[in-house]
Amino acid sequence: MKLRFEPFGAWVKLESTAAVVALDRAGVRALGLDGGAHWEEGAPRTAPIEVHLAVTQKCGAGCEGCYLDATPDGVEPPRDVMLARLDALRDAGVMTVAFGGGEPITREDLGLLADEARARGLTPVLTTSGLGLSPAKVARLKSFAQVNVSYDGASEDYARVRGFDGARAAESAIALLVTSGIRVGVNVVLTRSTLDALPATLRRARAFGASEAQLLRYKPAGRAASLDYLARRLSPEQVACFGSTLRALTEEHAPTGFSIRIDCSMVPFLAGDAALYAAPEALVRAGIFGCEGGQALASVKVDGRVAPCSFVESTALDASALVSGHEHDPELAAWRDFQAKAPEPCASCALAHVCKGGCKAVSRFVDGVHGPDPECPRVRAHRAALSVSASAS
Amino acid sequence: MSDETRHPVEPESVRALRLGHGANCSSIGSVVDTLFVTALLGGAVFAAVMGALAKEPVEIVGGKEKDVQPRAPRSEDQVHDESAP
Repeated sequence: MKLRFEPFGAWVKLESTAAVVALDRAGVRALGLDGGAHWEEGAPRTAPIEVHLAVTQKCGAGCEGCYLDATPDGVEPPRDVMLARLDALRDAGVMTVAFGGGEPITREDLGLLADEARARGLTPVLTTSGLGLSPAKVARLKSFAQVNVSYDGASEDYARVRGFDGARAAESAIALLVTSGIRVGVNVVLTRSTLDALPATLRRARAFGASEAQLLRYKPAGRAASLDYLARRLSPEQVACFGSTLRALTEEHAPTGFSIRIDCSMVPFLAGDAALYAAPEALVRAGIFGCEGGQALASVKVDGRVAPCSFVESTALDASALVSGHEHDPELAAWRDFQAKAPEPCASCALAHVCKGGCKAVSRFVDGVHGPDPECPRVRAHRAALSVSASAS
Repeated sequence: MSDETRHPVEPESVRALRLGHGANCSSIGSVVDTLFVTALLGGAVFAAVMGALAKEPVEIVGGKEKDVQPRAPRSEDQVHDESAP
């Protein structure tokens, strides 16, 4: 296991089981260790445990909602630059590095970079559209602990999200990776028009051999940062039922070993589920992460700059300075501070310490501020009540 | 660290358990299975994790090992940290 000391104890990444555990100090001491200076008052804040590393800006898919606005002639950093970034992640104690892009498989040296990540003690994982994935390329991907294939459903649903039908290529990629012994997940972007097909999409992904589905909220970044976002995002009614949707999906798939995963931006939707809202500690124990920008998550963009997440602008911090700069960068600090200074209704929310205000990429686009997620059910209700109150007075 | 200073981790010391590898490259994900599945399934997962904690060798990352001293376990109050899970 890999252990990184934290003020609360330590993060532990297990090797024999795919899991990361937050241990308190007593648990760390049971392992025969003491945090020493890491547990003293005023010890430096640690770096993220997961980093999303853009290895290229090239992509020929042309998805309508690409959050990076990737193009076929995008920038691709040289190998030595990527290796230096992997060095920086190792030195910072990062545990998981998620390779993304652009389309990562356009890099000829992708497998080598994954090998190099392993050699540095990092767990490399990968996201791909699957377009152009050949058996020869798959053979070079064995070092990845998991590969996620973007898969928004059968042909019509896929096309509704991305503007072209890449479903068959994605399905072929899933099957090819599984046959090669690589664990595969699917990334499913949820939009207003495709949510109803989600149960069928997941059954289909499982039939092709996928082991996990990562549900992703459609976000207003890159080419998706347009008025069209307002028509594509989930409706308030769909958001209100999201807890029930998850419950039904999990009850169907978990007994088969197929996992359901939600992204950080969907955690505020759980506030609309009475049972989940009443059990915030259950969410903590389950390791649910809300907005972790400036904390457990960081993104390193193709230019090497660190961002709180992949959907927002970079900070001035270069990845090479992650180990020393993560604590002091003012933008990252502002993201961390949100929770302590959160306005209502986040301030009184039982899930605030898990959700951390919801998706700032959405609040910045919709409200123009780094504030509470405007699509959270509690935020909607709060604003509706304020509106009624203002009208009455 | 030696085996003599290593003891079983109590279940109460597990503050959070994040399952899976999380292979998405744009946003951080969390498995929700254990929020909804039966206690039997959740218990099996937890047992596997506790078993791994008991057996796997430890490699310290992201810090200087000289700052860290092996020691026998002792009790201590929980520590408040806003970044903690």
